[in-house]
Amino acid sequence: MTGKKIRAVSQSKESAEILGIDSLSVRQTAWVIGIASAGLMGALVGLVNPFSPYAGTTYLITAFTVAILGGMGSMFGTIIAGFIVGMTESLFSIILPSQITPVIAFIIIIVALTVRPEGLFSRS
Amino acid sequence: MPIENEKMAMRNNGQINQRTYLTIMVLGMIALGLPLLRFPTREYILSVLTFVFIYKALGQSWNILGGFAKQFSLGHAAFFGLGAFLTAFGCQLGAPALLSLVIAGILVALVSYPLGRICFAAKGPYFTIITLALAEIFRIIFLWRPELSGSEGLTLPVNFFSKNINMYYLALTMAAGFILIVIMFLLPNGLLSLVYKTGTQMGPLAVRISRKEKTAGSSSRVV
Repeated sequence: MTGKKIRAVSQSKESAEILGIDSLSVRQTAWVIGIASAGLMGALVGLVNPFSPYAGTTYLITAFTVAILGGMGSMFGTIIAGFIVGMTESLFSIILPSQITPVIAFIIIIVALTVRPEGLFSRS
Repeated sequence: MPIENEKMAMRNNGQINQRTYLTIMVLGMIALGLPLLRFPTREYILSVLTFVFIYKALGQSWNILGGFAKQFSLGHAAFFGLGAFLTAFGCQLGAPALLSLVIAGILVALVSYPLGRICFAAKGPYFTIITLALAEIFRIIFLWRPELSGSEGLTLPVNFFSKNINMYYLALTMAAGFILIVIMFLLPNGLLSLVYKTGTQMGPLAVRISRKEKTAGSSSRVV
């Protein structure tokens, strides 16, 4: 039910409210789910990678890259795109120094947004 | 629809009247004459005001892009920092301070052209994300190479910029110049629109940008 409500509110806030959905609480639920999974992933990254208070933007843009490359709101696309971005970064770290491998993700997002902004697997 | 857009833009940009011009001029005069006075905390006040002017000019520069042209860029820091670094490199190479400042500005403009073409290929929020990604690329590259300062930063030789009073007047000139640019080119009844009599109530540049604000790409083709 929660997932259906979230998609309903994202499609049309007004129509969803007419049908008795509390759009604020739905958006809060989406926020909590999204942020909780981000926090969980942050904990995992902290276990395997060095990180600092300044490290956030890199992960933020990597998250953008994966979500946009896969197509916004597409679960299958996100899985594939996460695989593509992660593997590309690892492969380029063979030939590039490790400090600048995050640049690969940024270049991917720039190319993806200019060439195919709707993502690889968007439902459109 | 276009008429509505122009109305919206006019309401957002606001009309400038003679009282505003007068206020700007009086404040400018006060700022111009302040360093001539001798009072106990003069140096401190001047250094604080220097940053006030720098932030004023920086804010105005973002306002031109984000406020008037409605292209929300999060990559402004990249060009801000690039200008600072290029000026510092110029000073370290022994160029006169003001010359390196001007050259840095021109170089940043040249660098911004191809990057702007890349950014404007995307539209709406994607434009914002691309600018953010570009800024991050700059940050990572500058942190990575020791010859580009690395994480240690640069030290400058003693020059024109070392004196508080010089920086004060430099920052004041910049802030005044940016405000003048906005008044001349972008305000609804700006000075240039009086000269050219464009027939609209918008500044010439703002008209061309806001008429095609659907995508960032189209506005780049118009201007």
